[in-house]
Amino acid sequence: MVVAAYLAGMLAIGALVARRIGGFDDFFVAGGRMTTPLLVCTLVSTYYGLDVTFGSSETAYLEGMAAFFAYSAPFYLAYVATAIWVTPRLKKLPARSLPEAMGHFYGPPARLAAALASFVYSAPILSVVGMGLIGRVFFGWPVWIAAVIGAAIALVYTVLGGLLADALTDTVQFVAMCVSAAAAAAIALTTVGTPAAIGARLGGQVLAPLGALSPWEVLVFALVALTPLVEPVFYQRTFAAVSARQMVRALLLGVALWAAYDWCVVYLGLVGADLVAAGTLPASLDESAIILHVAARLLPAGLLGLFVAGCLASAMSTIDSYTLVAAGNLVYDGWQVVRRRSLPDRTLLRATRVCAGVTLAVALVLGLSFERLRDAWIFMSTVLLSTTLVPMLAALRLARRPPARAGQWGAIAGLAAALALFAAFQVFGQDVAGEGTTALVIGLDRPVRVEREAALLVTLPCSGLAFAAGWWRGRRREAGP
Amino acid sequence: MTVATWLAIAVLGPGSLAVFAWFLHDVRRVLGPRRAGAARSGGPGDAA
Repeated sequence: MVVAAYLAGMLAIGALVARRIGGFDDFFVAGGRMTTPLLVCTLVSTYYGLDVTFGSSETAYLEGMAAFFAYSAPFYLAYVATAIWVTPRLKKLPARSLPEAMGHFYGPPARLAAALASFVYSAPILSVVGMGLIGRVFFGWPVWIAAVIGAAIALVYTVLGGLLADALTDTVQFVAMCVSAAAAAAIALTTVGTPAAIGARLGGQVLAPLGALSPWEVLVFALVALTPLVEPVFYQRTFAAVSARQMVRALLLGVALWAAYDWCVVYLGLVGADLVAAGTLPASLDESAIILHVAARLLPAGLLGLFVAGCLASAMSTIDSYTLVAAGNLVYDGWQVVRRRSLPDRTLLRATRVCAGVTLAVALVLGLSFERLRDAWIFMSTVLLSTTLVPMLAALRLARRPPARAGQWGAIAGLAAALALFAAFQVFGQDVAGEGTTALVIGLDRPVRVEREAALLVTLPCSGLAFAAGWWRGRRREAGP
Repeated sequence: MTVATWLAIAVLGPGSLAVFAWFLHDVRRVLGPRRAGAARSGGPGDAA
């Protein structure tokens, strides 16, 4: 009942907002109307999807509190850095998207490379499959049916009302996901026990901040945590904000909410480990859905409905926002640039709506074909960071503006390196027993093993070196006869 | 850690409701007339 009312409400908001859409600006950046509270709601709910809800609780279930301190905490520094160093300069650009900002500094080739990377990153693969998991655990539906139904509803209101409908629905989704996580954590705290009590029962390194992670692994996670600096959804919302100040405040408030959400979800993962150790939950359950099993075990019917609605909210708020960004990448940053002329506003609007459907269909097919969701996430974030991090930060932060060639070389080399490396993982990679990952072994005499998670340590330097070479080459041409 | 967990619950529960109430108070600004020049457009060949 709660879930049905929630889904009907989302569709109603989309239908109401559709009447306000006058052109592409209204559709893609909400006419530049977004204020701090709306930005907080949409940023928090969009950036935290089921990958965080399921992923963090699963990591806590397997590795303890390291899920918070090693995996989540580095992101908070990146959010603050984005608010202080990136947002004020970004807001001054005449752009609507991350690829367009790249194009502003480095020209169409860099914009196209960034559009492709942003599309790969933004296709909402993880949340679509997460929605399928919710359908399976709570309603007994096949994963693909639940995924298709959820994606179709998110598609309808996003296509109708664009970013404004997306953000307005995000406000409700934000409350649903936050309140349901808080309620579940409060009930677990009073019925199962405190983190310290659970740590004492489970023993080992459950409460150790870095768990059993090596410094090398901590470095890799810290690098991945740089994603917010080039996060396409953050960029789109910065361009949609009334002012840079509103966006900076929203990001800083968001840090507190993200940290609180992470803490509660990690704690619920620990509760899951405790319930399994006590025999209350079966050890054979699906680890990736541990938080759902904990909720089903501890919450009364009404609160369980709220919790399911909260999980759906967490998934849908991510699906709608990233679908919109990915569709914009295809049309506004891709098709328009390839054709080398601006498209009429009506064509842009219509084509972006059609491509939203295409994006979701691609995400569904990819999501249901990936064996491990974590593999998909590593691939997506590596492609985005390798392509855009070095050129974008250099353009925004260096005192001297880099030449266009530097950004083009950096973006294209980073993108090519990431795609080539992951193709090599797919063809030549060997499964690492017991670690749930894939590795490439390079060299014969002194073989070096590169794990999929560490791909960024290879591809990011490729982008940096190409950027430096392009800068050197660009300056030489400028200084030439 | 227990204090941190209660703090997180307070931030997520009452905290998120406070942000939502702030949004409702502010919603007229969002749904009101568009600010001139608030969103700008760039073209496809927009190299610096």
